[in-house]
Amino acid sequence: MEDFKGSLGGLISYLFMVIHRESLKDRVIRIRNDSDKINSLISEFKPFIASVAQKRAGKFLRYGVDDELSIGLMAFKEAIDSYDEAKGNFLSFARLVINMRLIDYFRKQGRVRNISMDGQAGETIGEVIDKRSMEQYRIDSENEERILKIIEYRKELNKWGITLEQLVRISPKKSSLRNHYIRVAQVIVDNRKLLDTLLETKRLPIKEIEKIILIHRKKLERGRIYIIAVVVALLQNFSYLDVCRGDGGQ
Amino acid sequence: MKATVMEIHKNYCIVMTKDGQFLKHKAAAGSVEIGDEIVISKAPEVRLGRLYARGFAIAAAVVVVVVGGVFSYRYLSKFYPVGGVRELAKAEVEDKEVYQAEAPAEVAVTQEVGEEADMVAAEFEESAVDEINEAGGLMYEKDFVVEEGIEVEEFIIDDLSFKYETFESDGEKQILISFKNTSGSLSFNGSADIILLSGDSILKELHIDLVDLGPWEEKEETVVYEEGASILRIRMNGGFN
Repeated sequence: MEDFKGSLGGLISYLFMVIHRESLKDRVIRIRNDSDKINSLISEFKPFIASVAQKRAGKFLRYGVDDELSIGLMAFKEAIDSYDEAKGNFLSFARLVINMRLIDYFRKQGRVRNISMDGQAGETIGEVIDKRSMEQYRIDSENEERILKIIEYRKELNKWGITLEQLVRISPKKSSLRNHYIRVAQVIVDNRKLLDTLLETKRLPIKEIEKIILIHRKKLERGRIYIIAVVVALLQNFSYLDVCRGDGGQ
Repeated sequence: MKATVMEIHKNYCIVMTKDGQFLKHKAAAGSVEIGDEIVISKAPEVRLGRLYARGFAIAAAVVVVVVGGVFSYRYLSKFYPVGGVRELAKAEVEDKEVYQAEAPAEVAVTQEVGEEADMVAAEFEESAVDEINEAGGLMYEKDFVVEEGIEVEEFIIDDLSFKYETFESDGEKQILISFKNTSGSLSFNGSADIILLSGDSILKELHIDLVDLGPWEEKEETVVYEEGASILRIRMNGGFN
């Protein structure tokens, strides 16, 4: 009974954390005076910062090598320090700040780049924000949600020791096999005992799955990393996968 | 088909399609951002490599299956017990051309692999993996580029990850090499020879034993980055059990 309570408690905590995730803007406002938490947030969003900076710079950048990324990191920190709800979605605001600081940097370097909708010479961040329409706000909200979900998903996969490079290598090319594995993941998520076992042991309960779904053990073994990745997506309601919207898996 | 950009690398990005495929997509850095939705074709990535199958006659041929006019080395790239695949090829492939090449075979492939080729290759891979594991393992060899500031990670034998990166410590340039068993339930046993080359000249060799490398375990070694080294060759044998 105690074992059951413990495992149930663990599952509930995990689902609570996933479902009731604090919004990013609340988190930014909450951690503003805590330098450790700010550094942790910046670290989580390094891929996002690099993605924005690379698009502005038009080339691949490396942390520790390219100044543009240092500027991106400082701009992200600036965005954390100066953000408030009136400025819209945090990631959109952060993207704006990063782009404007990079523009300033390129001007000093004599590398004048095309100024896009992010702002014109001499405009402040506040002026640029004021000009944005409600439609842009809606688009920003959708983009922010998508980026956040991707970052969360990658972070969760990382906890399982799974990388996207690995998923590229092992995700089944054959659609019928892929659908089969997706169905296995759905069965796991729908079955509390299977899900508990997976979350506690970090291993696929192959024997138990074999009893429920007709699938050869070796096939399960070979697909285990992919199956776990789909389980994580289902738990996080990662809606960019059809199966998480109830559209796919067949 | 549409796919969402999940991760960005120097010359490519990793995307995820709505039906759950994870793919590499060629994209110049700066052309896409994380979260972008892009349209991609179904072409898989390709690579060049040499392979040997331990326990089978090396003089025997490596079977290369050509399906629909193109062939996917990626599916055949790890391990191919000659006898098994040849028999499968004869039994399974209809109206397709089957070529044999003398081992060691260096084959280069590219181009889109159609769904039928996918299915045939996937069937071959399953049987080939089983046969190789039953035979007790395989040998694998591949060359990687090595230079300052590089970091590479790749899966070389099933769930065995190989990673190397160059760094400087106390004024000395070094290469950190690591092997990680990403299998959730199997152990890996084998060994690796790491050879640093400058052109055809061997600058340094390092032997690494991987004995009972358990699930999620990692083994690291460092080697001095010899001046002029441009190729890092890895020769592996071993298997999961």
